[in-house]
Amino acid sequence: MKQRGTFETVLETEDFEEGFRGGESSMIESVGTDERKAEGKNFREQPGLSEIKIRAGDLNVHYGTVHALKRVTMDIPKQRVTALIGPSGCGKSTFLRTLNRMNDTIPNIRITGEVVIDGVDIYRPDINVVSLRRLIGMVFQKSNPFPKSVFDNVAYGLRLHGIRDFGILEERAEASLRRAALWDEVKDRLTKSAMELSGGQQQRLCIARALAVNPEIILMDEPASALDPISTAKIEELLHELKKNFTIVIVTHNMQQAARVSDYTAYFYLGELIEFGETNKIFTAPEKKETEDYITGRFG
Amino acid sequence: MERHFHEELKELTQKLQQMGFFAEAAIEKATDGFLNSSGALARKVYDDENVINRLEIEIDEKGHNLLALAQPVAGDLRRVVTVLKINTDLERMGDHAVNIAQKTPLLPSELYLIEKIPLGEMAQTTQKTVRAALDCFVNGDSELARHVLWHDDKIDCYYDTIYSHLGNFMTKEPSLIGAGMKLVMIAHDLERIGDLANNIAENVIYMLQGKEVRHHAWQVLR
Repeated sequence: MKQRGTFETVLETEDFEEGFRGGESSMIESVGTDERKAEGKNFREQPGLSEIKIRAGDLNVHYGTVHALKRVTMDIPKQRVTALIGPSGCGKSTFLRTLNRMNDTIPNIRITGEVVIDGVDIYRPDINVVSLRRLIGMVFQKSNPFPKSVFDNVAYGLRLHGIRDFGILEERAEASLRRAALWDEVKDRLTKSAMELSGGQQQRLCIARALAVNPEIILMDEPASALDPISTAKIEELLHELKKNFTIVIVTHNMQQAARVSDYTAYFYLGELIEFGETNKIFTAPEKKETEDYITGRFG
Repeated sequence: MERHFHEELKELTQKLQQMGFFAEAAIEKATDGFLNSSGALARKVYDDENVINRLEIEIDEKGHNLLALAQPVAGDLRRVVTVLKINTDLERMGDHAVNIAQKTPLLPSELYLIEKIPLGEMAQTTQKTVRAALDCFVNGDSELARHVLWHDDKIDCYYDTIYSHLGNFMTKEPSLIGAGMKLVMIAHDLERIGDLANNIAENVIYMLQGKEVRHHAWQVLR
């Protein structure tokens, strides 16, 4: 019997506040009901993996005739940082975008297999994608604040989900800005345009905006690649804090960054998941020669 | 694609190889000098020791630079770390060779006792073990490394035998205590050299395979 967790509750009710009250106790048990065994490379039930938040099973993505993601089976642990690495075009961003159905709008795309989050297959036809993305925040390479005030940026998602009470908006905005380690820098200019912030601040604002709607998962697509080292360090430090409450999946081209911030690392090449394991292990003694060649720069 | 870093790593490896060559030579001169009571041969150890000390600093510096500047990972990281560890082991080997050289030439009482213990055999096994340890590093031979671990046990057996023999002689004949003590110390130096060769082999296995075999080498040998 599948138990109802926050995730399913929100998806079915499409009610934002209801989702908040959905309770978190039963999310884990529901994972166990997914008995499907994939036939591709299996990175399930890795020793040492903690509770699983996202299970990708035999996941394939075709863009027209291009087979961009090949039978990826992988368990992403809850409240950990999982880094996706690999050369350009290896499928890591495609994989990331399947996790919140960002690929759906691409013409000629075909996705097979499954992505199961807390026991719910997010490609089920009855899934409400807007609600899904409330639970799965996303941060992009280029910071993309709205041309509005700092406050309005953070409050945007909350308003979208129907919150009008200014007290609640204020409270949530401050909490999100604090979580994104930005509050002290912007608390005196909440009404100023977000476009006046520095690049690093804008990116943390985008993170705050994602956090405001209280997601469970945060996807990051090279969130620091356009930032200077200090701003990068701030984002990286932030990840260590955020993983206490969120499950984070990050795509990065910077291998040192993957090594610094992640608990688990997945190496993709030509659409295949080549190796997935604990970051310590991947960066000191990887199992596969392909992984070794890539991370030591012998690749190509 | 060959990276500049890998050239540097090669240079680091070669420097260590060179240092190994001098350490091996120092041990050979020290033990041969001692066993043949040749002060002249033993004195040559000091020249090797000087080179070894210089290389130790150079390798440390180069290794630290590579860690700081290139941030190696995986097999590259294991290689740099292993080189730094072996560097220390080789320098210690040089010190033990000097210890042996300092006790050359031998007094008549020592020459008398040395006939009665397998010190020559122990020295030979130690030299072979050191050579094998260095070979396994140079050739990336983890199978040979496992043999080194086994050879070290043989050296330990020699040490135990020599220790108990000399103990008996000294108990029976107190006038031999001075000579006996000196030979025990030599055997101890050889035993330590064997241990260091053992460390090198363990580190080489880690470098090559990413497997930790220290402190439970017996499991690997099975």
